[in-house]
Amino acid sequence: MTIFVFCIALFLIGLYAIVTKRNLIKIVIGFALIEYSVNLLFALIGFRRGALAPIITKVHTTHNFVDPIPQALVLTAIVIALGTTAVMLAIALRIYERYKTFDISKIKRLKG
Amino acid sequence: MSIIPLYFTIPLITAFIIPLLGKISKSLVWIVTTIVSFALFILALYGVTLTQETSMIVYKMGNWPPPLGIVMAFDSFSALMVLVISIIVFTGCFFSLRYIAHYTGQWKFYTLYMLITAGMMGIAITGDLFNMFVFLEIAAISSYCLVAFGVDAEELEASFKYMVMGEIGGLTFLLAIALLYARTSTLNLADISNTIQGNGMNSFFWMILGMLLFAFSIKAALVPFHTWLPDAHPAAPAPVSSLLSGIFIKVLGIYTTARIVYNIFGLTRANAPTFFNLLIGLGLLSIAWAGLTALKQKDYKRLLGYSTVSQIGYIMIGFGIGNYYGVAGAVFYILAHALGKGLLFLTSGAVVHRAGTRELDKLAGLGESMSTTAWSFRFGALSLIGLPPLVGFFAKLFIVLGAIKAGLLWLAIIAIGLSVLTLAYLLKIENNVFMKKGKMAGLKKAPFTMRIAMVFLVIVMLLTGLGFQTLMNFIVGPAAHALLRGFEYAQLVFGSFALNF
Amino acid sequence: MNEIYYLILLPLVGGLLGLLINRLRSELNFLGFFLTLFFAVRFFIASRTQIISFSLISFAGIDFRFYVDSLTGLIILFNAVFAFLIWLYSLKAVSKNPRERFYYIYIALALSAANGIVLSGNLIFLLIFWNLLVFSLYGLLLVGKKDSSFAARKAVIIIGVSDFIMMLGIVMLFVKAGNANMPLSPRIQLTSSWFIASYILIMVGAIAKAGSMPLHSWIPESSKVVPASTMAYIPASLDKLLGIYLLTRISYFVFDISGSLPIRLLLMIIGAVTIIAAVGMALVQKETMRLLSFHAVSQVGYMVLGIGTGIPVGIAGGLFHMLNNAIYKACLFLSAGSVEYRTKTTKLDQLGGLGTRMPITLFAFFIASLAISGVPPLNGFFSKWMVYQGIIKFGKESNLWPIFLIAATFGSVLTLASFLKLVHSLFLGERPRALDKVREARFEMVVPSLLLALLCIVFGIFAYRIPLSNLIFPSIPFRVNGIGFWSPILATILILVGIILGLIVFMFGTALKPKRKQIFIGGEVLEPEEISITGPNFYSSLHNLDLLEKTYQFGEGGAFDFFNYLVGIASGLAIIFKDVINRILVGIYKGIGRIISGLGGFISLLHNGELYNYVGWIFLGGIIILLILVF
Repeated sequence: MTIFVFCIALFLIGLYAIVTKRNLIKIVIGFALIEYSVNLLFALIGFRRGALAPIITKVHTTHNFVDPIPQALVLTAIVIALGTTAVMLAIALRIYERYKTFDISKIKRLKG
Repeated sequence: MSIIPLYFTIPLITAFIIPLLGKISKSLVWIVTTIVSFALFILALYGVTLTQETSMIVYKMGNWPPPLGIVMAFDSFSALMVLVISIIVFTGCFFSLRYIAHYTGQWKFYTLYMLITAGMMGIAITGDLFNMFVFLEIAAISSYCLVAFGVDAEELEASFKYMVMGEIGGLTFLLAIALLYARTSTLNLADISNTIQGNGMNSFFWMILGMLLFAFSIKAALVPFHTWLPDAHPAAPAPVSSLLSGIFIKVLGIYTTARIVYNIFGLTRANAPTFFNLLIGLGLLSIAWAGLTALKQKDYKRLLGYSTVSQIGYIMIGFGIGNYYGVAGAVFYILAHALGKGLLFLTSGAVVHRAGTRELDKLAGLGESMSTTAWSFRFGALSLIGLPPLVGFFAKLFIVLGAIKAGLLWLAIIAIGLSVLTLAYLLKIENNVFMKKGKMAGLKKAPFTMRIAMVFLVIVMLLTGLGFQTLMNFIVGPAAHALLRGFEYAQLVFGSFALNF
Repeated sequence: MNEIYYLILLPLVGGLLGLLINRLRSELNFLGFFLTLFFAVRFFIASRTQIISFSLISFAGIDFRFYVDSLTGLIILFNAVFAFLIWLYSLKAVSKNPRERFYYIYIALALSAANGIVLSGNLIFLLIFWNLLVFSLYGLLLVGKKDSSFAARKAVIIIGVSDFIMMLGIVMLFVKAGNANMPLSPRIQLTSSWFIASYILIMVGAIAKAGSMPLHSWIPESSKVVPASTMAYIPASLDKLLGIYLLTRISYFVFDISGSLPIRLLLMIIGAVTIIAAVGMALVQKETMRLLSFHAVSQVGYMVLGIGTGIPVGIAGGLFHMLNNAIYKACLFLSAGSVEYRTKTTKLDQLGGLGTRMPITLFAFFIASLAISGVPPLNGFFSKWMVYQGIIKFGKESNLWPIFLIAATFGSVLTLASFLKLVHSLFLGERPRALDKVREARFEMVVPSLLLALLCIVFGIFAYRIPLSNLIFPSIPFRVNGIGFWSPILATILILVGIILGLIVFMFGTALKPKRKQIFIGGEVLEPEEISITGPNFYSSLHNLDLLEKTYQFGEGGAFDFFNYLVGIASGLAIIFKDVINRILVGIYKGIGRIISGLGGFISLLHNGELYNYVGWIFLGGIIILLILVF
């Protein structure tokens, strides 16, 4: 159970970064942390102590496998996270070109 | 061979063919995209006829049976969403030809456009929660890129803020999926529904539902989760604004909420009054808050963006009322608002294309020089305001009737009263841009393809308004019934599995 | 009953085709309006003998149905007549407007919507057409002489508010009574406070449409910027017909107000206040259209007053007055429009002496002026007389009746006074040099006003035989007793006619040919303008008034004093209404506007572009959602 709590703690650290950090790159890192924590949580949900990897061969006839579905999902989620992070960084760099700053509190032309 | 997976595979494949075609010819890309989106429109119409006969069409990916494999569950509500998506995508595509002409990298635009279409279509027909997440992210990432497509300072800023908030929603959705999987060991919507039906709602499920509502409210831009929308939607190119405001937020936010609340968690007003009142509260807050803000806007598209937030509130109220009329009204409103707001954003595109500015103070006297645009704007605005034979009126009428039948007279009164705000802010555009006599009167008309796109939407809107009884019987009514089936959704999905297995 | 569809669709089809095929516009529009008129006549004849009611579609307990009885037929007929005449008039009058193309489609749409309103047998169904009419009004107001977008916006917002109020009332009725059919059987007695509230809300919508106070302010505002034909069409005729139609329907067919004295008193008070206040405002106006538009407001008071009495004669009088008012008010607007067409101005102090140049217009305008002032034997007199009869009979129920009677007669006198001023400043007196080349208005413009003026005479002289027994009495669900007012009054009428005719002859004699006198002013050269008496100052100083001086010389000094006295009261009232009540109303409108605008500005400021501010909102919202759902 504690390990789940740590996952949530990691999630919250990521959120903290998003809410309080002004630097665009640090915000992106915050997202990376969140994505990491959620993926970790997912993998842990499927985990069973002492179980084998879910590969059915003639040698291992036991049914004590870890749950394979979260692993498949985590793989997909990582790809999506990669895509998001890449787009975010690309746009952060473009913003730097235009505004000459990474400080989000100075990037506020759109308001009202 | 089922046609169901075609809805998202066709645009997906097209999206990856376009870069190849882009090397050959620009116009070829546009032609292919238009043909594909028109084919989707025809397929969507065919899908509607299919759901008239069978209330639930299930397609098993790779022929794996439902709890194990991924299923596509296509019912009347999905059919309606698919139809609306395809209409807006088709008109947007037509409109893009001239509008996108001054951007570089046009084929990238059409690639993203097809990806966003694939994502939305996927959400509307999937029967699997994780699959829904994947499609949602496909659509969302494409939309971030499209918002930043012009790479101007404001567009990048809008895109980044949108991305931060959108991803908070997306990741919360993923977290909710993980927690739900920990409890139910399944991701199939129908299977989750069965588990919940067996266990009954407990505080864990309420928490999950809260997280989902939070995530979808961000995607749907309900107040106070709306702040990205007035930045992002105006920043995108006009056909994309039309797509985003017209249907994108409804698929990502409203469709998902309605599907999960009604069919998966099986909630009704009788067994969960607090939740439904929460929906109504969010709706009313959105209408009033965004409506008031819209009054003070000085930018054509930003005003329309706030108007979208405000109008989404009506849809939420309809779902929050929870009886047949309320739900049918909300479904109708999805259609009406998609057509109306899609049209209004297209007119904004035409105006920007010719006049070169979006500021209401600088625009003037376009009513005579761009008469097609002006008339399209008027029809769209009147439909949103709720003028009778247009489709928006019937949507509002049903929501009000629903409120009355549910014994919420106060809600009916407030909902009608707040529509004065809609009148006020749309009149502001009408007065400033089209009516006021000014220097800009000598502009040229909007390009031909743009006018075709706008007129097409006007015609669809008139037809839906005049034929609302038919629409009610064949499309909107069944969609509302599909939602109000509640837990029967799961039986239908598994029922068809038992038949085919 | 195919005519129902024809009546709603024909004008619209004609208008739309005309819009599409610009070359044949007049022909197609003519076909649309003329066929509508033709079917309206047939429909009117058919509606004498039968009551038709059938359902179009029905869902959610709302029965979208048509209902036709003789009242329907009457209003349909006049809708079509007015639309046709206005179309004829507009052919030349609006021809120079850049938005001319769209003008006709709105005229057609308004006719379709008006016919739809009258034909629908369900209040919710009626709302559809009601809103369509607002749309066409907005369109028509936008076809302005000048930039009319502000006036159009003001009109739409005021009417939008009153429509919302009415919608609320209809919803309340629907919720409690289970349906909103019109007529409703059994009729709803106004006993519970719910139904009283519902009735009052719908009533506000109806009289606001008719143009009663305090929701009238868009009419004078619009009158400055739109063509006279628009004013003659919507505020002067269609709105009156429809507003009073709806008031009659809800008062005696859906609800039954004859059992509720307080409601009827409320109606009568609204009527009386409207008569006096609006006519007071009219007296001090210096512009033709604005002056006429205040009379358009004032005359509504008589109709509301008549219907409020609950006495058959009064109700019949109210309805008859509605018809008459539409006729003479349209005539006045159209004639004033002809004057404006030729002189290019509506300012009274720049006009004068046009009587010899525009004799037919003068005739029409003069007849209509007398009719609106209630001078026998013109139609306005008879309808007003019936309203008075109703008020007197109402005296059995309430001691307040003398107040209403005095208000009504006093209003009549002031109307006469303000029209004397208007006729004088337009047609009589000295003609400014600039207007020497003015000719009679075009044929297409003269014919409608002349026809309407003739109708005033016919409806007056043969009041009982033609309009009352054929049009009005069959339309109300009561037997009208006490038509005996006919013979006892005859003598009085004849005497009055004698006096008035004498006065008219006298006025023509003196005023058409200004009397020339030698003036000695020490060698200076005087231009005629400097000594001419123009209309606007008519009541500012009675010593300047040539006409009344003559009257005085003829030994009617008593009338002079009385007149002076009346004018004093009227100016006082005008000041009260203009400066106090109007200011309060404007203050309220502006206050609400400021509050909403301020709120919007405040919320707008909250969107300050700071990302962490936005993210903070999001998390706050998320926490609230979770708290509500989990606990």
